[in-house]
Amino acid sequence: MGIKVNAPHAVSEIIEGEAIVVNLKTGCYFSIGKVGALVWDCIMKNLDSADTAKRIAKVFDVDVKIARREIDVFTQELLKESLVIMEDSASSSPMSSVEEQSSAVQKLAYETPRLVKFEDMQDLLLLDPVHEVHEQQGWPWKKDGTA
Amino acid sequence: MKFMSSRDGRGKKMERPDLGTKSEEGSERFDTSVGYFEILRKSFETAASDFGVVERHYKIANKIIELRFAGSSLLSVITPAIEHLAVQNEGVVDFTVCLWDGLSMKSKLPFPPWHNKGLPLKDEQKRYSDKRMTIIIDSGPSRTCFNLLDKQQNLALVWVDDAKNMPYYDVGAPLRDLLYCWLRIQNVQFVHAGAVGVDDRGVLLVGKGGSGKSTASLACLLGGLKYASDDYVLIQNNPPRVSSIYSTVKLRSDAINKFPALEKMFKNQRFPGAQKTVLFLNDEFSGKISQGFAIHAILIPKITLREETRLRRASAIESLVALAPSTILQLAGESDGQKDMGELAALVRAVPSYFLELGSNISEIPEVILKFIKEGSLNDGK
Repeated sequence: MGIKVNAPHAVSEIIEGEAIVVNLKTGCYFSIGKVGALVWDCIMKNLDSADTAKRIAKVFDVDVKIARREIDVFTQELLKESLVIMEDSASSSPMSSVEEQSSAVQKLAYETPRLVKFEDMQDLLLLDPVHEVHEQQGWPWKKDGTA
Repeated sequence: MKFMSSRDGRGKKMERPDLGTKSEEGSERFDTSVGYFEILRKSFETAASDFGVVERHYKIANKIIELRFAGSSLLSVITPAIEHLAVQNEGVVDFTVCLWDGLSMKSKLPFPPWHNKGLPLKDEQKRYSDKRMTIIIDSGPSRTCFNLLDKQQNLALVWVDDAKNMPYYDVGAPLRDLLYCWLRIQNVQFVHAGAVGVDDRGVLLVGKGGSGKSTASLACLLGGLKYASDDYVLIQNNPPRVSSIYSTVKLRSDAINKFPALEKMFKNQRFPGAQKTVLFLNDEFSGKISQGFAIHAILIPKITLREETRLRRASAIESLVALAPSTILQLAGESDGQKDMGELAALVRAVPSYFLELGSNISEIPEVILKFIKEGSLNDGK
């Protein structure tokens, strides 16, 4: 059992090693520092927590066991905020460019991955929510006029 | 600071006419989105035949957009905010929008089959999209608006139940959601940001409502800079360029204290009871409204307690946090969110970002920004 990004509700971007994630369902958004951003990158690449911990330990100055424990805590936070969801399987994928660059040089300082939550734009959804009707729900016409 | 939505006042109960909409019972069948579009197009054609057509043309982000109004009831609602982009009809049109209203033309429209019945107490949108059609039903206590976009024909239909009941945020930023949908197909990104500059280059002002975008933008206009917008702009990457779309400014009513020079405009405002004041700047400042310029930097306004205004370098992620959530949460649906995030991230990677720490002396704001634009960079060693 692994986890995956809760697309399309969660949209994200990693920039200069840090991440931003927006939850389109709740209107909350999150910033994630460098360690957490690499964890997020691993989730997007469908890695399980063991492989993610190994990669974190390759890039950052941290023991792999500590990394694994803290990644699990961080993952619970992501699940709680519905930014990721459980899925049946996880598999490995090639090293990220961040890791390839970093493994050749000195390891980066480690810090516990954290999710910084912002709730100041939920009003946008509450005042003017957008409800998408997916193509298969929209047509054909039904006699009772309901979707 | 309390967050102020760009659509403050939505959800406020207003009187609405007993117009209703036609029920499906006894109406023509619309088995597909294209069939539904055709039924509504016939309604427009009937209105156009009965009330005549008024045509207007606008150049928006280098695209020629033709607005065809059946009758004139929506003309004064839709056009004032985009009048600075008006052009003569030269025969080439990229996008045509047909507009009509229900009350003055006694035209009632059927809701699409997927739309829930009943009018909500607050504004909300239902969006449907397939390969060819995007349909947005924007309904609420003050008005109901149907937007239908045929992406294949570059043709849209816009119907409003009552033109007289359009709220200030619609009149200040007309056709926002429809243009967002069509322009993104043209690789033009609708963005929640202000923009000011000189002739060929300028800065974006980004951040949530209440962060100081409008105050800074208006101060720059009065201080001699060109004004592209205070709230929404259009962005194209490679190279980064901003285009103006609305020449309005939306301010809290007490902002008159900051801008005594605009006292007359505040007194003659069109929506005196609204929570925010919308000023139509093209009326008074037509020579200072810019159609667009190259983006030199992204500025993130922050209101401070200091007197002086200054710039401080911001990281790319700080800039994206200021820019992306308010844009995506206002404009995008789930199917558009990730692509929009990618476009905004590309912009943030391409130009430097700075915090604009706003001082209490408003007249300093344009001086700081103008100096920054002219010198080409901030002399902060970064």
